[in-house]
Amino acid sequence: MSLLDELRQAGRLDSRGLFTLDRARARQKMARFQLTDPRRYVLELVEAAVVLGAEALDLEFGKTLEVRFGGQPLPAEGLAALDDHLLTAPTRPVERALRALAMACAALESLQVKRVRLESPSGFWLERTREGESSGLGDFADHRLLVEGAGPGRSRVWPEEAVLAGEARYAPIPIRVGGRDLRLPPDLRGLGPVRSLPAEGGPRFRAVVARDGEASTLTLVSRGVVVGRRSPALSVPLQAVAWHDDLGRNASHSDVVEDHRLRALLEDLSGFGSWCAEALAVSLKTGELGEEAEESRNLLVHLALVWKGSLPDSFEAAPLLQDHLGAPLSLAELQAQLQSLGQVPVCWEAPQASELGFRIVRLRSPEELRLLRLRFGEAVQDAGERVLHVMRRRSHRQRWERSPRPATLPPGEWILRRSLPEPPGEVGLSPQDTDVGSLLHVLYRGRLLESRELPTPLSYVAVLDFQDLEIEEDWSAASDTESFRRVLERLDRHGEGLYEELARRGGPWTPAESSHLDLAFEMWAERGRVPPEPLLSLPWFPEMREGMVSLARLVSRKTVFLVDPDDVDLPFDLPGPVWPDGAFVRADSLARRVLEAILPGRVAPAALELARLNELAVRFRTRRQPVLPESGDLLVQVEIESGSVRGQLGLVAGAQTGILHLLREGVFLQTRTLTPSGPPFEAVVECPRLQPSQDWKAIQTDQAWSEVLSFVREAETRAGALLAWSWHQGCLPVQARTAVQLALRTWPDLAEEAAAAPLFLSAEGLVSLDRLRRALEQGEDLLTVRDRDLEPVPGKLVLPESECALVRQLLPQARFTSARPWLDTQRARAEFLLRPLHPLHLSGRSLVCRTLRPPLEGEVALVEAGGGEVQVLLEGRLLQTLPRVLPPAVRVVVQAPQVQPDARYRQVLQDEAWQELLGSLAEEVGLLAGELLDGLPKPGSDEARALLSLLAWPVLPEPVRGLLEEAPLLQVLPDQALGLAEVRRRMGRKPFLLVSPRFGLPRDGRLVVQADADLQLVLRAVLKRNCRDDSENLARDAQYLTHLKKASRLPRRLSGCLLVLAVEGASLTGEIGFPARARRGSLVALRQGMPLGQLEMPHHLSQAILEGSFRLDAGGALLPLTRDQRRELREHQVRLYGLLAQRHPDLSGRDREQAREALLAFALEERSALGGRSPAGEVLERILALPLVEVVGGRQVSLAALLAEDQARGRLACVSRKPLWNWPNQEEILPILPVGSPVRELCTRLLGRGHLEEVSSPGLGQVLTGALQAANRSRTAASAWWGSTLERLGERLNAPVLRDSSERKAGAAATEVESGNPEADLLKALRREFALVARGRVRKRGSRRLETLDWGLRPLGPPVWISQRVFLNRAHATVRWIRDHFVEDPALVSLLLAHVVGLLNEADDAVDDPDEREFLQELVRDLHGSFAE
Amino acid sequence: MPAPSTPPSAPEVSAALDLLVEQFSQPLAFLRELVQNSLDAGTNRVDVSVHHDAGQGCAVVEVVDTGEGMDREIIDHQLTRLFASSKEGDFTKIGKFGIGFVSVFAVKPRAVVVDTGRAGQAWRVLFHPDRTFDRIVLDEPIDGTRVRVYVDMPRSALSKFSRDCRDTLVFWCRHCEVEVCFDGVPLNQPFSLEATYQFRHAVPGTEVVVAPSDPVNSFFGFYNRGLTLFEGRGSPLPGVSFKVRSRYLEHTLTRDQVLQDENYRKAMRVVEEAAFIRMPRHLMDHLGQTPDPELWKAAANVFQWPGVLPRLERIPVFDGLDSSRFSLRDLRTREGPCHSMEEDELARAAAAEGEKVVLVQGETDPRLEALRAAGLVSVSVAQRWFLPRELPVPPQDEPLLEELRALLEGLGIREVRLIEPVAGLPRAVRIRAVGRAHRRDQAQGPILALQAGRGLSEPCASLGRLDPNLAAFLLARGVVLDLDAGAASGADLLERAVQRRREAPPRRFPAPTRRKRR
Repeated sequence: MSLLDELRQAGRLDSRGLFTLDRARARQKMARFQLTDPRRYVLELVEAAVVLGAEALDLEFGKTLEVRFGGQPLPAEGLAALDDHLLTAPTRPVERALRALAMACAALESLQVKRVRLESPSGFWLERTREGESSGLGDFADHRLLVEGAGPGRSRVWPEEAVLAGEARYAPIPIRVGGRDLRLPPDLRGLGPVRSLPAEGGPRFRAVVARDGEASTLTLVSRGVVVGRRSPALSVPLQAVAWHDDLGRNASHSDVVEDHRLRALLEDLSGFGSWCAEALAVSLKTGELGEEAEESRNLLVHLALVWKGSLPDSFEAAPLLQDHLGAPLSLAELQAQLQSLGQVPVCWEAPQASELGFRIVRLRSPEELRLLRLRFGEAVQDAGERVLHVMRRRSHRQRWERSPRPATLPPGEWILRRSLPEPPGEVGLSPQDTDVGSLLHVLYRGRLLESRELPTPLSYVAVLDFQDLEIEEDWSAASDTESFRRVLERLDRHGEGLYEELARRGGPWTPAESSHLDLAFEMWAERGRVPPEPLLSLPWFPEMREGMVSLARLVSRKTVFLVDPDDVDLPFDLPGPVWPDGAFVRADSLARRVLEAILPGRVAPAALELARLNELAVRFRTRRQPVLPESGDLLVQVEIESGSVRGQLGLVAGAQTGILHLLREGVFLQTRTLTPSGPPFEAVVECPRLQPSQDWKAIQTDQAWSEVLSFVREAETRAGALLAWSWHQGCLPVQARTAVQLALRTWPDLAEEAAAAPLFLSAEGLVSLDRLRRALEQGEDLLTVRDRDLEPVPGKLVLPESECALVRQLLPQARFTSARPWLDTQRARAEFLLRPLHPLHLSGRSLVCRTLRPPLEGEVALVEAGGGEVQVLLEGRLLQTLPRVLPPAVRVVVQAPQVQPDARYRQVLQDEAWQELLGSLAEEVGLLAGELLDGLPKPGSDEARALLSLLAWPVLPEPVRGLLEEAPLLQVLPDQALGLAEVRRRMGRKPFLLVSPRFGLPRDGRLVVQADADLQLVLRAVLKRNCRDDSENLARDAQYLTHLKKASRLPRRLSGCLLVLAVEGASLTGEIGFPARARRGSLVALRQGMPLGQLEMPHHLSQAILEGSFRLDAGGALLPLTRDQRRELREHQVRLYGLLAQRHPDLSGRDREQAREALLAFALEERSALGGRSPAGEVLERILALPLVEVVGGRQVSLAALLAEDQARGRLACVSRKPLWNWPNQEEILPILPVGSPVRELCTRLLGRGHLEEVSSPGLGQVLTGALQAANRSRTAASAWWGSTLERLGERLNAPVLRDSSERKAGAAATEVESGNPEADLLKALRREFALVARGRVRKRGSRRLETLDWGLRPLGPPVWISQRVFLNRAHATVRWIRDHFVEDPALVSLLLAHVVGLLNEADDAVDDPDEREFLQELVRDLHGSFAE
Repeated sequence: MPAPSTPPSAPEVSAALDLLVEQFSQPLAFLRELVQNSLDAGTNRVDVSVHHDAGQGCAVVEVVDTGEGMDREIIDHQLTRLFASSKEGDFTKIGKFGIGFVSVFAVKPRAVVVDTGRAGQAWRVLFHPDRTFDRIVLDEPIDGTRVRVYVDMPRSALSKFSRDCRDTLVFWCRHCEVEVCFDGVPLNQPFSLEATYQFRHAVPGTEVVVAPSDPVNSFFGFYNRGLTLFEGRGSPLPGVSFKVRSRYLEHTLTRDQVLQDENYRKAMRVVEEAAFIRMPRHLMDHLGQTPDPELWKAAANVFQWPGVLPRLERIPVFDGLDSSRFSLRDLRTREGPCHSMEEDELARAAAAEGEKVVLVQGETDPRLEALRAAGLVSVSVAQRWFLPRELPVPPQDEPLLEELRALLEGLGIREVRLIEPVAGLPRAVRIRAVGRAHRRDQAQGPILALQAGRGLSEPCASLGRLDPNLAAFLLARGVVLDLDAGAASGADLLERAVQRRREAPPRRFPAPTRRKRR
């Protein structure tokens, strides 16, 4: 029976039916709901044009939309019944077009357009308006759709354009909007070129392989429109576009149907992806990928890992890997190498060796390793071992080749030495080498292959030269072959023969020979061989009782006990049977090893045996009686006496076990621990029949022991009864209570004897068994608690838990309950009552306050802020402060009769009474608000804010709320007081703005309420409207404006400058100038012409207004210049000063003075650059030549002239102020150097303090005389050298004056520098020091400088300076001192060298601070090592 | 507009059916339609099951409800009449198109059976593969409606088919207001988000649950009576994950979008209120009470939402030293706040200098993420501050330091102290006083602090016991480099060193033995 027939069986067939259609509703619903967005109707037009075969689709978006397309004409009858196609399943292109147009028109209907007109080349037109539909005939060249009334609205851009650009971009025909084609080629971004697969009639693809880690993306295009986007899981990730006109689409045309057509398409795409991947592999091999090669390679490795089936040839041949030299490597190449090498060597770090003879895969990712393992399996191995092997073999072989050696022992002193025949060599005993282990030098063909230690107890040295030898593959040693082992055995026999020869030779032996014989003794012993006769019968071993004995004597004893040399003597007074059968030998380590080897199993350490003998000796010497010692712990005591057994037993307090001491004839035998029947006890028993064990440390468990035990148990029972009776009598201490309880637990029958005595611990003290019985009879529960928490509870009997077990045993009817809850509450209340009394008044300032009405006690107050809490009192003490119960403007302290605390007295019970109290408080707050409202508080006042804040309180009584909302409490800008209700009415549905009072300016006419943050929260809560706080933005704006305002007052052009330079730098542009009057420099920073702020000018005095990337902080304040900006600025300053130096002669008056001081300050600061070719150095040269120093007589001289003066006279005399008379000696320059002036400071620095001699008025005559004499001397000295040099000096200012020997001979003045030797020696010392210490870049860059280091003469300058060369300035005082004293103080050389390297760091860009630091460290270490401590 | 036309012909209806059968992208979406019909019928439970009919060789999907059922009138004028639904405008119903039922034909069934009863009538409507149907009067009364769909399928494919059906139901019906069971197991899940912290808010007819989330993957979901209308990733409110269920929300014909009409906008306003107004305050209150790291992560997201931050700026939630708390406003300083993992000496010293120090659990503490989200970049205290702790100067090194001080006087150095090493700090640094915290980038002052055992200090100390002047000069060269004091001081240093050597010649040592390259 078919399924349908079977299903029909359930009842009676009534009728058959067909689905029907409500066409009107269908149209209505399709129009509204079919498209996800009605504007997508344009896509339906695209589809219509495509299926009709149109060549293009033209759209004109204006006030109306006009769409034109050609193609097969739409039939008139189809257009006439257009809506019928809404619900058809089209098969032919014309039907598809009609359905698309129908959907488009339906969607337009939902957009409420005014008119839609559709024309067809078939001559039919159709028009729809809101009034109805009309049609007719006409003559039309193309299809045309005209839409009126579907404009873009306010945006002015038709949304349809965006829809087309997004969804019709891959259409097969041009989609032109205003003549511009919207289509774009697929924007596919992946690896390698985009590939296409043109198909004949089927789906068409365009795709590129996606980048690693990216998912596949697939755009599906059908009939010119994007119908879906997917991220399918493909074997090869692709970025793809697929064109397929037969894909099924859902009813909204927004997605494809997941049916067989889509599945088939995805399968086709997978195949296409594999083809793309293979093509990518080919591209990788041919090197077409360029920058993408690395990424493509990674992806291909990944794909190769997950490739199903065998890898295609393109993958095999592609350079997916890299070898250890960085060259590309393919799997195919590896396969070829595997055939010859037998493995695939891999490494993570490239080895340092290049010539290995094979290629190693250098791994760069775990995936590469996985791929190799997948492809080559176990053949993949770490290359490290193989590389190491190659390197090691190479190294060992080279070492062998470099080590020729004869096959004899080296000459020298030997105890014995013998030649060996085959292989040729020699063996001998060395007097120096007596350690265990022999040494063999293995030669191979006359060269040393290895020196190996032989594992033998002997100590001989041998050398053997092999002509044929099997060698380890890495050439590290001889192979351990059978033949080589035989040679070693032969050698060992030769070695042993040497020892036997030494022993037979007999004594006396030298210490070295004895050491060798010790080894031999040990060797023979180990090998179980009898030593040679001279050694066997010697009395070699000390026995403690017999004296020195031979080895032969010891062999006859059962055991040899080895006594350490430090152990005490034996107890010789013990009786004989106690002694063991054995010898006690004091043995050192050698004797110990020999005896252990020769008498295996018969040698034992003597320590245990010695201890036993000594302990026995003590016991035999002291005997005792069977009496218990007197002790405070003894509670009761009974006697034991029966026949020969006698003793005592006592019950003790503070013990756990029973202890029994056993005696035999007064000699203590043993103490045994027994489990007591009742309380713990201690007993002592004497019994002569007890048998000791062999070692006298225990007794044998025989009949005598059983008897003793029974007597002890009987005595225990007697003692228990005595204990109970004694407790009842009260003649026992309290400590006995535990013992009594134990006794009662063991013998409950004894309980009644002590029932009336207080025995059990309770919170009220000790109670008797009778007391407990009475409590139970009265129906009272017994409370229990942990022992440490025992505390009384009034009216209850509280017992510790430790007592309960015995009580349960004696009184089975007892019931127990935990005392914890009673105790907790009791403690909590006690703690609560310890709290101080709390006032019923509120502290602090309040706006208004009132006393609460009875039955409540306390106060309620309105405060400015910080309230909201209720302080609840109980019995006058603060029980709890509940925060945020009330509005933030209300504070309450209250004591109410109905308030109940929790069990711990920490919180108020949140019960109905509490809710009732809250209600009462709300009424009180309402009354308080009413009182305050009566005073008509001003808007914005604290009172008004407090009242408004009440509105956020939901339980506020409604009448009060109404009053508050109507009251004009809100400050509305500009100056208006409004009630909240009024604000709400005015506001309507519009949002309003809140600003804080500080920035309260209405900006755009909206309702602006001044409110602080708390009030804003209240208003938001009450109004539930869109309120915005703009205070932050305004504050930030204000801060920024302040900076801008301040900056706007700054000048934008330089003024008051002596000279101005334009700045055109890398990052700074503008002007820089030298100020005519200002003593401080400044920099005005601009951005886009607007001043940002002012900074202090770094480096040198100047003023600048510069545009650049200046940094600002968050508040708009200018941050300091960056390092690069400072450097750039310095360059411009140097240029400026160069120009200033050039203009200086033309200046006059105050300008000249200002420039002079600045130039001198510049020279002082930059003097290290002097002589250099840097711009600063050039400027300094100019400054030196300028007449900047006034001298006596009013003349201005240059700094160069001053140095020349110093050179000529050995010092520079100067005055601090102008003298009143002219200087008589016109040949001496007497400059005026005021104290503290820049020129004085500069001269001091350059010439040295000792070279400046100030001439003061009182001593003027005397100094004058000296100066004249010096001048006379110097005139003579300078006549040859200085006379002409002074003139040349100015000409040669820019080049160092090198002295040669002919010059030195010129005059006496040269004696200071002409010696030559000190200067040459200093240079030599400097170079040597540099060569010793300098490393790295300092050495590389500084070597040439130091090689060309020489002496020079400059009119002025620092100790050394750098041009293309380095010169030591012999004119400088410091340098002269170093030159003259470095022999006796060599540290001066290090000082000078450190300074030179510092200059090198400054002048040479290749040397950096870390280089100089490294140099200094090296220098310090070197210096420290060179000085003797 | 267009005039009504003649009643549709049978071929026309058939064509419409062909069209509507494929109305959904997923063929199994018919299950959703059947469950929706059951909900609209007022059922309190929907049972869905899948089993295999071995005799017929097909899978049977069965949907059973206890709703009000159908009589002949409803069968003829609503069930089998396309677009004839009367639910439109009724907010107690979800469906409105009248075409959902025909989606059962998307799976190409061999037969579809609808057993239903109402008002004493009991009907079986048996649909054939050609979509014609038989009306069969059942002998037994029937309660509710039972729909069975017979699909040709081998037994081996049943497991996957059943799993697909279950997944489809879970996606569409997991938040249904009535119980939906698959093979007897309820599929319903709580209406909540997969987030540790979420906030729930409801107004009449609409309920939302919102949670802060990653802006890119934020989840959104729209539901009507718990039935999924539309959900996905990439929320319209970036950074806010939300679910909203409202009886006013509607979907498009193919259920792949929620209709963005006025009701949609109302629902979104409720979501925005919950997310941007109510939740932030609630979250901050919780932050103050329970310092759960997940809450801080949520706060980091919330801080990035536009307009929210100013309202939260004053709430103190960040733990500081000595049980103090900072609000965002407190921490909004020019350089931003600092953080420390414990209340150590450095943190206290920095706080004493006015620094705001926030206590965190580690560098990955979500509090730091929250600060970043609020536009505050916090650095660890040790990154910004250092605390120079003075070390005693060995008596034998005192001459070296005194010499160093004299050489560096030109740089304004008044004292030289030895301090414990500080990581990341130059070997020499200027400070105002030892024992006080200093900013690393603004270390200024008259005291030169040398770190013990670093750089040149240690070797120079050794050398200084032999020749303090020489050692001090070399040490001063290093100090000049550390202080970036420039070239100008170089000449000055040499002059001072040589001058002092001249004035007070140091202890003479034997001339260095001829040194050899090591």
